[in-house]
Amino acid sequence: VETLREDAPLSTPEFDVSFREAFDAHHASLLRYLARLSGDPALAADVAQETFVKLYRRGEMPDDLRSWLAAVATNMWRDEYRRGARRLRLLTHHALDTVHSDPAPAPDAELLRGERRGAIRALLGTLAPREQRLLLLRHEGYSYRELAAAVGVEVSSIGTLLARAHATLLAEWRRRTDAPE
Amino acid sequence: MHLSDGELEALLDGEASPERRRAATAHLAVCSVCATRAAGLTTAQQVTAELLAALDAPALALSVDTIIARAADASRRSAAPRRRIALAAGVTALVVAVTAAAAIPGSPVRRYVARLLGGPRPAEHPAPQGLQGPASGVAFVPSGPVAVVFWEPQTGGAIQIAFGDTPSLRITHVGGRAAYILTTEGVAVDNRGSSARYDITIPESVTRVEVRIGARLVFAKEGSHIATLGARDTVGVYVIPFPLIGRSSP
Repeated sequence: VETLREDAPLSTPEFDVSFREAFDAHHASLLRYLARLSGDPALAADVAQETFVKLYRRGEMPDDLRSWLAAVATNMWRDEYRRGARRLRLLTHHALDTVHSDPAPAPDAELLRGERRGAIRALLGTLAPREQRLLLLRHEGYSYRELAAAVGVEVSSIGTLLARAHATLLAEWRRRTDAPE
Repeated sequence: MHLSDGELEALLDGEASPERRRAATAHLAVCSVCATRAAGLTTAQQVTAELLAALDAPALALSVDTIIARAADASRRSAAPRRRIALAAGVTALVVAVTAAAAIPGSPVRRYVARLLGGPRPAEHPAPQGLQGPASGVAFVPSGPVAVVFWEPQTGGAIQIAFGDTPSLRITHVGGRAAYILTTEGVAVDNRGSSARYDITIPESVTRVEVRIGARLVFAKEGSHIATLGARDTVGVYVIPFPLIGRSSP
């Protein structure tokens, strides 16, 4: 739950400007990365928000902003996941969905989308966590240098890791979708 | 000597050095094996991009103003453990959500909650704590259709809806208390016992909006068509007084 506060103080103008520019440039990508990583949009929003809160409280921009955002957000998501927040939030949103969809049944199209998302998430789960993060961040446009800093591997290894992740994902997807029901 | 998978990937990603790019491109022109592998890798990248895009559900978006306010607030109250706050908010959200579901006649959640709590009426549940105080509203950037759902009718107050050239949907309240829960559909407003007035600013770019009080639809926008139980004032604000809705619904 994100709230506006009537008594929010203003920050220093210079940092406020650069922070807002950083937020505009990167928040949608970070949110998408986290949502894809976690499968939980609410948790993704919480973690992305806390990441930017942490950036704001830092008071200065890191040298490699995107890598910093990805690394901090990923660590935060891991912590949240470990502490069981994800389970709690999934329960919450299931219940809320019940409210909003009652009494009309969910459209078939949405059910199919949900099933497809589940299948793709299971597919992503076949990759090692590091490969998942590399793949997701690469598809957010991260450069190899940014990926190396965000995930903690050598730049020279990125191409090989990405090629393996892409190939694994395609092969597994074809195997699963071609398999008889 | 064929190109490695890593070299092919870097070439396709535009990450090869100019020297490596020239050499790899020249090799691909004469090596059908590597050209086929490069085509396969391109397909894998495209399929992966499509699969990842299919994962995207309507997202809960963020407000930079909210973040700055939170950061400033956290600086002031650094003694408060974030984890406890997050957990309290999560538990509160769960209580609100389950209680809301339990309020629906026929809901299986209603039966479940009744069983858990020994059968008290859902309406007798205490209001959730922890989402009050100086909070005055909520703002987020909607990514699709939006539903704003109020818990119940009020005896006083009103909902005022305006459209603006802004990316954020913003709800603020004055004259009472309220708590907000962002959902996959929009926002749920816990207005139990409140007599507040709610000012909702909706981005003009949002094509589909529903505002409900309980199960009752009181405002809807579909494209350029707007239907409301309230009235449009002279400056284009839609005003829906709560007493107009009454407390009989749903």
